[in-house]
Amino acid sequence: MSTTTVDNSANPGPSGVQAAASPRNRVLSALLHRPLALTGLCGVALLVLIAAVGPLLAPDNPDQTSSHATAPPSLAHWMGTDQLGRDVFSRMIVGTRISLAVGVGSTAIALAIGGLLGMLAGLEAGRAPDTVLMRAMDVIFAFPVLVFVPVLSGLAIGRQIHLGPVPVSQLAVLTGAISVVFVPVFARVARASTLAESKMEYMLAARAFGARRQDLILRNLLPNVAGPLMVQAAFSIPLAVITEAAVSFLGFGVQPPQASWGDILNDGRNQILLGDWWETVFPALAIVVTVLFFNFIGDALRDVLDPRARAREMTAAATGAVVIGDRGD
Amino acid sequence: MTDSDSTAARGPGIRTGEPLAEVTGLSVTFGNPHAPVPALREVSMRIDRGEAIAVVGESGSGKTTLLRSIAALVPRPFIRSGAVRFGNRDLLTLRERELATIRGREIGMVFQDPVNCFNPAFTIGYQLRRVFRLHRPEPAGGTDAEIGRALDRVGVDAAGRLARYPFEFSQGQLQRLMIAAACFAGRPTLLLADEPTTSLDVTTEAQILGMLRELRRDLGMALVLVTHNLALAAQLCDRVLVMYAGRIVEEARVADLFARPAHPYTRQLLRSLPVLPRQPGRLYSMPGDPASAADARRGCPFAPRCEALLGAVCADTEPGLLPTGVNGQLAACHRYDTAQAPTENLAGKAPA
Repeated sequence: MSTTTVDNSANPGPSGVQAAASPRNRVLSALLHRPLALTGLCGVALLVLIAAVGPLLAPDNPDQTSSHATAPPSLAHWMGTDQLGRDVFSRMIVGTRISLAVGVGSTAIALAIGGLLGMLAGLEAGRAPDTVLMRAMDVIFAFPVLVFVPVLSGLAIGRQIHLGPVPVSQLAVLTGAISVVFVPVFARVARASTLAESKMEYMLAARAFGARRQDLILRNLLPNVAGPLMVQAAFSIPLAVITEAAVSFLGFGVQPPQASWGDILNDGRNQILLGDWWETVFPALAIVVTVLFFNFIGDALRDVLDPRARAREMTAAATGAVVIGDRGD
Repeated sequence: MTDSDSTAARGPGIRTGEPLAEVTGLSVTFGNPHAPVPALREVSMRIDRGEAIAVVGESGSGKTTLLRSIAALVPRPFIRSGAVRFGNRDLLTLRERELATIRGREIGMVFQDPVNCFNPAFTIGYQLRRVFRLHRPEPAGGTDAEIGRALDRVGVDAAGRLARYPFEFSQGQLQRLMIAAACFAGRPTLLLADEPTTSLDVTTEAQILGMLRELRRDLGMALVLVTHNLALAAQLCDRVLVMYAGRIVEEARVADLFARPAHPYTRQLLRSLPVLPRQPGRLYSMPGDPASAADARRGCPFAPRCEALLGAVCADTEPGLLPTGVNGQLAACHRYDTAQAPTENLAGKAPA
């Protein structure tokens, strides 16, 4: 960060000990020093790559039916074929994009809306806006996920939905419906952090030194609320992926011939009783591994963003035990 | 304070300078309408330009609430009545936006616990720059040069330290940093200090006190120091306000307070201080528990612990702040009520 370089050029000092990394660098380097977090980061990076260039990697056309129906895994079809003779491996790869997009997209929407509402509620704590917002969140929280999302998403099947003048695809409706379910979680996290943060003496001190309300919110509150929200997001993405898979498995999510992991699971549901395991095991594995990757990151983020844990690490670094956050000028 | 003749000529006041700020009839009640928790009751005080006032009292006596009220930091709904005049404005009627141009700029504030007053997520430099830029345009040499000079004044070497986080500093250093921000970010004419040395060890405390005295003299700031330490008040201040149960019970010049404490509470408080050489016998300890402004009782709030009760009047009516006849000293005790003929000579109860 530019601010820190100015000070250091004035006095180089022993860089290893005195180095205080910018918060972003520190978080990243702390994550890279944890094997599980590193695994999670690499895994997610790989998934994102597959999602990005997916169709180029797929050996076959994922929608191309063939006479080789329900063939077990072989060199030609690594994950076998489904009952229509489509290559499961190709469908898995193409499905990655939809599964991740729905998972990340719905989490991002929920994070933005829930975070905003939660901060608002926290700032107005105890007054009418807080009560109204949080009771509304309770109501949404009480929705049974696997009824609410399939109904909303199912309504959009085979129908052109418009949000005002903007046409909305069924996939967008599915993403939106999942995000609604996650909004209360983010709102609660944001509200709790806002409340805790507002009670901090440094907030009072900042006011006593002449900070304005927008200063307090943007510069003190937001950075401190962002941490817990990021941790929550890391745990919500895999949940959203699972929700998408579950809804698609029930048949109300991603519609054929489009492929998502849950959709593939659904296609293979009847086969499993006949002992044709490949069409269900591979998407299930993909879901499990994805959830694990994101959880690894979430766990590490939670540890790293905890200020007390951070202080411990910095102390250890200063005494030479572990060096974390070396700036390396 | 040095010119007692002119003070006497001016009447019963102990004031010498021109008024800088004035608190009148301030009542603060926390809690909600169903469970009110009074914290301050009808408190009035005047702060003159450049003078140092100590506010002493037990925990819960309302010292901190009074101090925060002066900077209008107490949430508006809790303020039941009263005004805080600063210059020609009543701070309690201003909007936050207007207050933001006064706080930090004209009124500096130092808190009790420096560790929690810095945001742990940001470097010291970042936080100091923010405060300095709030109150002065970017100076020619840059804000960092300005901060460097300020830190120099409070005895912290700025070189290479601005990039560090608050937890990398000691409590004493953080308190120095906060004092630097309070005194040099703006050009305060009033410094409010809430037990600024309570969390520090005695050596550091002495250094910080010396520094505060110097800064006050050099910058011509008035000081309101909240403390429960009478010795501190004696070292640093011209005048002392003694608070009890959310009220001011005695107001006196420092020398008078120690030589002729007027209120029985002050007397008993002074008796409970250990002195050297050690006096024979057990050290005096004040009976009873500290009262809070929230205790609803008739009569004088100090009556249950008072060792110089006058009789039924103490239990029945609450005394106002009355002149004792010496140097403008005021005390909230019935014995100074001229309508009530004093029935007892307090001298008999003076400290041993």
